[in-house]
Amino acid sequence: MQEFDKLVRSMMEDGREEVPAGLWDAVQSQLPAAVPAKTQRKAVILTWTRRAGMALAAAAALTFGIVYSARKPSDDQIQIVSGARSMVADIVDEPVEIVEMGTEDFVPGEVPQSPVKILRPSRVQKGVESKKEVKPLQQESKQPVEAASGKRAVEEVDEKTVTTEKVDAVKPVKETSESAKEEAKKEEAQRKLDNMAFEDSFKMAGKQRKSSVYFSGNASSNTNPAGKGANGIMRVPAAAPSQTGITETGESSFMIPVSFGTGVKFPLSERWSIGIGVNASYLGRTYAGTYREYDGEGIQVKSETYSDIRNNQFYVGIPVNAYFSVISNKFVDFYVYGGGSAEKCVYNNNIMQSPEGNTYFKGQKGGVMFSAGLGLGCEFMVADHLGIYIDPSARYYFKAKNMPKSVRTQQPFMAGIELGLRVKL
Amino acid sequence: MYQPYYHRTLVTDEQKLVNGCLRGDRIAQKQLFDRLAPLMLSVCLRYVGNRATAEDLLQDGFVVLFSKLDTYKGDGSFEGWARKIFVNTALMYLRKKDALKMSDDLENARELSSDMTTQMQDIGYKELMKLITELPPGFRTVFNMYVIEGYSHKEIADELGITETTSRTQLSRARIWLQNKIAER
Repeated sequence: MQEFDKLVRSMMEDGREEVPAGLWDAVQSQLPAAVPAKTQRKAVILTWTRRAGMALAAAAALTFGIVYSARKPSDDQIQIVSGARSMVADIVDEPVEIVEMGTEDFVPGEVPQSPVKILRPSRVQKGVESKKEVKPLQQESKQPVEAASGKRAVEEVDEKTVTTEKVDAVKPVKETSESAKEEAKKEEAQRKLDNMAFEDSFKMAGKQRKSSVYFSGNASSNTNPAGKGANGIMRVPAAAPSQTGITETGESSFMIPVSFGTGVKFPLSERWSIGIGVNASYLGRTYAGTYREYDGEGIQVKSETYSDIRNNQFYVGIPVNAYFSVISNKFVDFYVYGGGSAEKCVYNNNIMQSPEGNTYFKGQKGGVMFSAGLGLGCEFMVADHLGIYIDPSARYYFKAKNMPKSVRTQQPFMAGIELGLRVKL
Repeated sequence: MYQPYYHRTLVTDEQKLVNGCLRGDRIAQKQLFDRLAPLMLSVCLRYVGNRATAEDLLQDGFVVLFSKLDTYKGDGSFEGWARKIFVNTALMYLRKKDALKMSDDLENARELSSDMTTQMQDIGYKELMKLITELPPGFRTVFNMYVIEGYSHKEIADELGITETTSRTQLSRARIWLQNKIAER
């Protein structure tokens, strides 16, 4: 190349012209609307959570239906009679005869000569407490009512009240057949096993409800909320020039929030329980930002860099929940729950990546963030003292002052799934 | 408060800027525009010789650049890649205007044998730009492509639809004309 050419090239190659103001606006107007690629993933991330939640709800409903239909409530179920009650239990199908026996004919210790008849069941109102003094057919120790030999209730057919006495001295009534009584006993026993009242099973499960320790993991939905964009300048402390800092220049891409925790669940009643624990949560996001360092006077820019910045936040929280058991048996507990949580950011760090190395900036931690949530839950007992539970829920995070920007501040309403183990104490 | 507890002297990361533009980040696009626009306006002005037209071509060139940004593979400098886009934008304009028909001719001039170094030191960028823009479009285009952009005569011939001989002739005549203009100052 000729010398002249080299001289011209050296002068013109890096030549610069003054660009008129407004030219960028003209360029910008012809560019497509800003659609960051990462925001296209918002539906993908949320989709699996929603689908999992829907599948879980369907499975829970199916479980509810199966468990509910599995019980066999029937009108002829045995009613466990407490010693204080004197309900007449309708268990005896075989008709019995009532024996009228006048008091003058009854001598304690003496075997009556005449047969004693027992009141027919049809003449006894089922479940109606007799106004007359009626001795239960069973013993005082809550044994199922049975026409045991030597023991029977005697009730006067007419208006006269017959004093019931212990029947030891009374000659056993003439029953229709011994085999009928045996069969009745067997049926009672079988009925008790097969047709356990729903309330009884629940009472049994409720009696089995114990305190438990749980260990859980939680993931929440992340719709990667867009539109928040650049929202201010993050500053370094007062020692540095006031203008130095990071400016968010693009939208954030949020990671799925995850939590891990442990706690204790106490039963308050047969259906109600309360749980309290502690958890740790991680919130992460990536955003585009510019770091500018000014000179000591805050006028001249000493350095400027544009980079993706990674923000990491850790929270510690105390969740408190109340649980209401809807369906419960030995193997599964289906419940609804609601409660709140108080969480505090304990770590907030920004990492700016560059070829020369990473730069780290600590962020503000803000105050306490409160949230409230509702959910469904299902616990499967895999061992005597060990259960696996899954709790889909919806939670809302209330605004708090000076909270660092996170998916919770941008998307306060979140759906989540908690999986965990409960160890019964 | 924010406390940088590990800090180095930072420089603008061009690749990060490109990535931001690919994401549709308008701020990143503005930053890229601010960095390239003065340089590329000079390129456009050198080819079309008219400032208003050069600004229009600058606008069109950036639209093309942002639309083709995903084709930049990182091989070679980004500035060189961007420069080609604006050169092609200018050439397309000149072809549309039939400005490359080489109809205009330069006045015959005697090639100077003296060293131009001294004269070149006295002339500034703006004055040299003015002289270049005074070249007829055909000569100006060949001169720009060969001397400043570094195209070969074969590439110029293919691009402009002329022969290599014509390209060499046009370049020589443009060179002499400029040298005389500089010497006359």
